[in-house]
Amino acid sequence: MKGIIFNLIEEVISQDYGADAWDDLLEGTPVSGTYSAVATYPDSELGAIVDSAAAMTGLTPGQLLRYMGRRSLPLMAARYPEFFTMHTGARTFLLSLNEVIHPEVRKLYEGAQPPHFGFEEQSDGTMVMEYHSHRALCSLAEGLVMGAADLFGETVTITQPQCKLDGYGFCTLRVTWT
Amino acid sequence: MDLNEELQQAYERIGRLERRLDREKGARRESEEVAERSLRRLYTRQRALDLLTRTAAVSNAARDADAAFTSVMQMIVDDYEWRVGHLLTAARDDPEVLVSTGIWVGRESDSFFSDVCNATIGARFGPGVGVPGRVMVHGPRWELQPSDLLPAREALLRGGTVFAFGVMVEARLVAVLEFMTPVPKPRDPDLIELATPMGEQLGRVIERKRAREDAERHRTELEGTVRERTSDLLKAHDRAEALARARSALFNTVTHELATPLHNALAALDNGDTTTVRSQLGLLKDRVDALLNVAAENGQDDAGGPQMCVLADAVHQICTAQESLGGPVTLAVDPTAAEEVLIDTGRLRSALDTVIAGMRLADPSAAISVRVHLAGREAVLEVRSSGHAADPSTMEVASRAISEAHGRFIESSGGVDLVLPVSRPRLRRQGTNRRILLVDDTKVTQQLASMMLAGGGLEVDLAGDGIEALERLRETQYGAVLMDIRMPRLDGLTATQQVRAGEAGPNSADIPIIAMTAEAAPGAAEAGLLAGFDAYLTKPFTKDSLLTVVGRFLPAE
Repeated sequence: MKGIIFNLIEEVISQDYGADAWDDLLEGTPVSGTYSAVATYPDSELGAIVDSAAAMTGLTPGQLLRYMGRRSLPLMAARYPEFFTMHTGARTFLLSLNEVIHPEVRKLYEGAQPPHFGFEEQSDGTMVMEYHSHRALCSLAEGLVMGAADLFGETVTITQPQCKLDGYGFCTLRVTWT
Repeated sequence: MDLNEELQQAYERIGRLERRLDREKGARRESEEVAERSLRRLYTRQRALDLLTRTAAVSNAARDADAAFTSVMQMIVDDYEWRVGHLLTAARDDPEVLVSTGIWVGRESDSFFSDVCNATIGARFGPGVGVPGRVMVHGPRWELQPSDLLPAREALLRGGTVFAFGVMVEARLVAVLEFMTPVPKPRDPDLIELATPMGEQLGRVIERKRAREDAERHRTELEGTVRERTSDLLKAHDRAEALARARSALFNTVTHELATPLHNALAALDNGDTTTVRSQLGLLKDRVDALLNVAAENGQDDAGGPQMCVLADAVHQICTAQESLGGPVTLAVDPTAAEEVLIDTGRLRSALDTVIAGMRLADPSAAISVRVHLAGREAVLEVRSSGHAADPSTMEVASRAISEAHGRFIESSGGVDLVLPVSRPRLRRQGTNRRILLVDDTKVTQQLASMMLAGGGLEVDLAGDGIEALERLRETQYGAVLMDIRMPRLDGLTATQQVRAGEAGPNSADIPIIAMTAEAAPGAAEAGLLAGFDAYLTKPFTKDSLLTVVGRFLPAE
């Protein structure tokens, strides 16, 4: 996992719970705690931090990841505005993930392995997104989609008909604009 | 809160901040390491790209393979810090063995350089032997402490490094470049990765050199063909002229030989001297018989006159022969031209062969196409090349051959149109009766031909020149005309043109006209066909040949 994800979580926790909360969280978790955006760290460190943060906030790990995703998207938009300003809504932004956003991620973060999304737009305007990744961080993805909707002033509801953690080959997110 | 508690909290705070600072320092260090790694990678990739670009530039610009190899070796020695660069190539006596070319790159003052040069003299590296031999078998090599077949070289390289790669031409290894240094060098994956494309680039220099040599050889062959063809044309021209002169002289002699006894006999007849008449007529008969025998023999082996051949067959034969000489020739014959007849195959062959040779001279790989179609009494051969414009001096030769045949040589984009007069049997004019007009200024010919025609059951009227012929034709409807070419007042060619133009009346404009000629000068036959003759009868002729030709144009008895 690239250090940028750890940095985003740190930023969210520091903003919402204070800078000491991040220090406390790291010191209570068996991780190195040193995260550079461009370096790579074991996925297990992210899992350990998510578990500690969930315990600290009283959320489940899934809820925490959704929360982190939703809160960190505006931080990404502030850091890389050029990938957001070209869109007027969340739908086209999401559709550009595979072809525009993730190639840029690979350029900036050598060795990055971002997920791949499949898209199916339905006649009622619903979008079914397939989430393909060996990490099964579909909850984080769900939070990021929510965050994207927030950013463009839209409201979406998201359900997850299938999840890799339940034995499926990949996860799906059903996004409905309301 | 007392002072101690505050102090305790302050210490805890400081401790927390120190730990945060340590984490931040760690993060910065890791960021710097990533940045350094990226920069190093960027530098090596850039250097590799530069080397490949320069190798491609040197390979593309080089006309001399050795110069290209030397430049590339110098670049690798300079940019990648090797002490020695060396080129090996396949031995002349055994392509499976590599030997030194004597091309080295390094500093003369460097003892390692001179020691390696000296140790390599006379070395022969077979497959798998030494680093060059292992390149033959396994491809590019980067070897630390390389083993070698020569103890002297091995001693120099012990503790050192060799990098070597091969140059491939058509999947065959033709050379090896090796780089040596007496110190251990870490593997450079970028340089090893570059070895294969560099070897291919350098191989292209050799391929281009070979292609140039092939093209040069082909060009020389073609130039030889054109020279030969030009010389053939000139010889044929000279031969035909000589033949025409000889025939003319022979004809004069024959005329004299026959006229003398005839005049003697006529004079004796006036004097009532029947003995002399009989003896002179006997002499005349003997001479006519002798001449007819000679004429029959000549007719069987008459190589000097025009050789008629079916146009489609002639062009097909020429194109097939050309294909076997230098590559594909596409031939398309318009259906209307499939059964027509072209005069003088020899001249067609000369012109077409020369044009195709000229096109190949300009571009040996050009695809040639020939399309044949008819336009009236002319055949048009559209010869096209996919390559560069044909060689101008060759085209000049072809143009001359065509104009001698009263054809036209028209240059067009991508090729040439050769326009030649043809005889078209399917457009043959047919006579309406069996009465013949014989036009000749020579009494002997008049009498001889008259006898032969009368023997064939034909009626014969005589005319002494073109003007008389036109007069007769205006008065009488004939089945065919036998027309001499050389005549006083109005020659046969002009008379025929006037007949065709309707000057002997509309009923005679399409009458079959057969030329009688001893002409074999270049272009005479084509000129005749253009003027409107339907057939040729070469003098001297026999009764059979005369009746056969005339019979083709007359209704049956």
